[in-house]
Amino acid sequence: MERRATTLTKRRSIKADNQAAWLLRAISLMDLTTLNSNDTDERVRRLCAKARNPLRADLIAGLGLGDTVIRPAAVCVYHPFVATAVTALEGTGIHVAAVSTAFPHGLSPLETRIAEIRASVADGADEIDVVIPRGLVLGAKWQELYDEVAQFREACGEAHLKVILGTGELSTLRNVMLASMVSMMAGADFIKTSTGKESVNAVLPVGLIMTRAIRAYEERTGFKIGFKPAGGISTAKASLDWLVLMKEELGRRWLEPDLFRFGASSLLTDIERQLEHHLTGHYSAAHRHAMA
Amino acid sequence: MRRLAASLQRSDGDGSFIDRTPKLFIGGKQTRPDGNYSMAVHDAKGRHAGEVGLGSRKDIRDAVSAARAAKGWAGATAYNRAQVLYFLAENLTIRADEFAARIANLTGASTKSARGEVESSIERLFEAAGMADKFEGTVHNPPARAVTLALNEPVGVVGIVAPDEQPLLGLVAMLAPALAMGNSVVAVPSARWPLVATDLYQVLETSDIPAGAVNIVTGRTGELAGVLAKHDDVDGLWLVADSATCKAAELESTGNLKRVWTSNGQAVDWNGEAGSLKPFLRRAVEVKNVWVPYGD
Repeated sequence: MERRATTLTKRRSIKADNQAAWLLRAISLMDLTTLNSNDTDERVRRLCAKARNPLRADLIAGLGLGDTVIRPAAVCVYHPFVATAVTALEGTGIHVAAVSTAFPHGLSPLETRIAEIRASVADGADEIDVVIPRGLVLGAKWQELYDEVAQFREACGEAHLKVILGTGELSTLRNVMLASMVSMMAGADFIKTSTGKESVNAVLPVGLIMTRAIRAYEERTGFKIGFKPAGGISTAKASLDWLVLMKEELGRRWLEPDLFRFGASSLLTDIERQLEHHLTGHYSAAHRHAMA
Repeated sequence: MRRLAASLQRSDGDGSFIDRTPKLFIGGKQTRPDGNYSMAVHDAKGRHAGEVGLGSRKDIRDAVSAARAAKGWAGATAYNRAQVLYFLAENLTIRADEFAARIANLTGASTKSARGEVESSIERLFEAAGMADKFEGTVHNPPARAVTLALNEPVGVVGIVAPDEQPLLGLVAMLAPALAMGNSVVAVPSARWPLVATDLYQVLETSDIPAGAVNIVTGRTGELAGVLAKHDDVDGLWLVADSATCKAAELESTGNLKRVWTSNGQAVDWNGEAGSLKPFLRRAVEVKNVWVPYGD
């Protein structure tokens, strides 16, 4: 698996116009995220403003995008900022995702975690990112894990459910595979690698296992489940690696926002810099682009 | 020991020579050039003296990112920067013989003048260390009821393109003041004799210089200078090179308004007034004026 993950990204390099096109695709697959302990309403509003206009006007013109609107798929925040984000993004079609169930550890009482989901949905979040207690996986308590995720699913109602496995803390790839399968069986719309708070976040070998799990699940049930790597994806190059992984392992269909997302905060700035470089031929600086 | 050092520096020696291509120095790490190419270095007599990494625009890109990320150096107290520069000067002193031998072997300079170059470089480092906490600015008394504090702040990321003549002193004379004032540096050493600079990063590594504060990219001067000039995230550029390279850099940097100083194709006398520490300290800082009005 590790060899496949290593060679996958080196087989074909995406350059020039193709690179620009893939990077624009990466923006449209992004969950623009702020998950800091010191988040404020103002910061969330700034992030939403960035989501509305992710690229400078001259870049949009230079790339010849015309009327094509490139925007992130969603903005991802903590529960207290859901209402702020919903208001700030009104009319854009950008989804609001809330992390929930005692993110990032998932260790508060089950009723509390379920109530948290309901509160975020009530505030207008249409995507819920839940975390699983890693102990259930490490202790092989699969039935318990299934039951918890099923209850999360029920609490979400119409909202999309993304299940964060916290793969950096699951010890083995085998655990990642089993946790992915159990989560999908219990009703996850997406499986997501990490919270971004573990010491090891989204890495390609784990991504490969999870895409294989998604493929196996589709073969058995016919249901397509989405995938979201998150944490540590901060460069344009890394984002292309993930897109290549999806295209090679699951096919073109998994390059659409209903089946693939990046969880990212600083990735957008790097993509903007690369796009400017593509247009001008000289390297860009972060301060030339609006803050995310 | 001396013989071993000498044999390691000579590629035309006997079978005991161990070939080692020095890498680039980016973000505190010795890294292979992105393109994985090397370029040959010849001594003054035209004999093959070794290889160095052939840096490209992508290596400059990485070096600038590393320099930009090295915020700790600009934020360190001037006192702390002085201590680190003293330490660097001391560590270079310990290896003075080795550097003098390298310079003599490469450039064909006499032993005496090679020694002189190393000694001047060490002195310049001590001098810059001494000035690190003594060039903080001035207080002006403007014709109003106010005083104005003129505070010297680092320019930011400074690109340094060093000349072939006096490959160690030319590099150190620009590196030392830039570091003393809290800038982080992307240095392109002499393309003809870069082995002196690749020796130097081994000293940098052991002198508590934080990762990314100094980055060294060996390669073709004109090409790399152009990338630095066009790069939006480089705040200053000091260039000692031929007049065509200097002129091109000035033109290419107009789009981003970085502060460019070039030697206009002239050689710089590093022991004279123009090549001394003071003018480079001035170039290494931006002045921030703080007006403090007062009543009667």
